[in-house]
Amino acid sequence: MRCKTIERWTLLDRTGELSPRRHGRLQTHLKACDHCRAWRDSTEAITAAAHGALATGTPSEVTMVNIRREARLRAREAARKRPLTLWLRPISGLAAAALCLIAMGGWWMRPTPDPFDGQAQLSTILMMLTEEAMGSEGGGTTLPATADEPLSLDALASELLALQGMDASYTEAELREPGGVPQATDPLTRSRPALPARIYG
Amino acid sequence: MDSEDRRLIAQYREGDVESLSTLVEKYRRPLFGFILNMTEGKGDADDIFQETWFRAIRGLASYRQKNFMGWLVRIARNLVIDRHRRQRPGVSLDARHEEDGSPLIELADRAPGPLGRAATRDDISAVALAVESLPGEQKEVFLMRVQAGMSFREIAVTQKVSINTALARMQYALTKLRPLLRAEFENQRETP
Ligand SMILES: [Zn+2]
Repeated sequence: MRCKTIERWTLLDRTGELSPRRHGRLQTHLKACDHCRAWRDSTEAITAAAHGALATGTPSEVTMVNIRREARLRAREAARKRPLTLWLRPISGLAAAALCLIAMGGWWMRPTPDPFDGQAQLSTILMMLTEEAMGSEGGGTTLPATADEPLSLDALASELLALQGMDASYTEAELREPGGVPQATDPLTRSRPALPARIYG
Repeated sequence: MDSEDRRLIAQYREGDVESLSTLVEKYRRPLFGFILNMTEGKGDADDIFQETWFRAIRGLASYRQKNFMGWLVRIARNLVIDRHRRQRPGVSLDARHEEDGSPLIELADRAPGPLGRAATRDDISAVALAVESLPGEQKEVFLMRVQAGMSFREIAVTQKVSINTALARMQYALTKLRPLLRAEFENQRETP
């Protein structure tokens, strides 16, 4: 065992921070090593001498009074807060429970996802618009596929574009003429005038 | 934690101001001694002692440490470092390194401490002067161990170093103090 390590163990032994196993090894080493015994003894002497000789002094009376005043002040402050805290404890518990219930209710009542996919919804919209168009013209239109027989997405998209007056079937003249192209209608709210009759297919 | 400290702290938390006075009195000498040896005069030491207790009082509501004295010393040490930084804003904290390779924080050791200023006085013992002459971190470890009675684990936590570094600093301090004190011991032996 290196004596440098033993010196450290001597220091740790003094503060009670050395494990019992190492304490045993330290004692064995000290019995056999003059250097480490001398080191331990001189360390004891130095610390004892320093303990008595180091400046100790005492804080001024003003400092002591200030500390006592601060202690009183904080204690009073804490006492003022305490009854409030005691009241708040059950209330905050209840509030937390209520929040939990609201959160659980919200989760329970959450809207269930539509079982139909986007394609089916699009078909429904198209059907509504088609019915409207058929109603105004008194028939003569070719119905698109029903919601039960969904079209491909591409076909549906072109149908929707056509309904909104954005398809390529308009003539150049129609496009150039101001107001020649009907305004796009919101297919859901139908807030704008209905589309002019169009022939599908 | 000392069971008496625990009891006094609990009583103060319940509003018994006298319990805190007992704690202040209990640690007055070692804490003030530590601060006095780390600062540049009694005025500074008084200020830091007061601020240490102010912070301790404010922190007592959430106090969870094991060693009350170690906690007070940590607060005091931080205040000493803050004050030193304010007084010497240009000094780099890691410009120099100690023999053990760890960064050396410039502490009050570079300025004349209470003992340094009194170096010409006869009533200051050679031991105290020798301690005063130690490099900052070594002096701090020595004071925390000898004056504040802190364990090496607590010293390591306070200095934010490993236990081995704290032990190495103590070893260096003792190595430097030994020859300085040998003469005094020999003088004492010769004096009848
Ligand atoms: Zn040895």
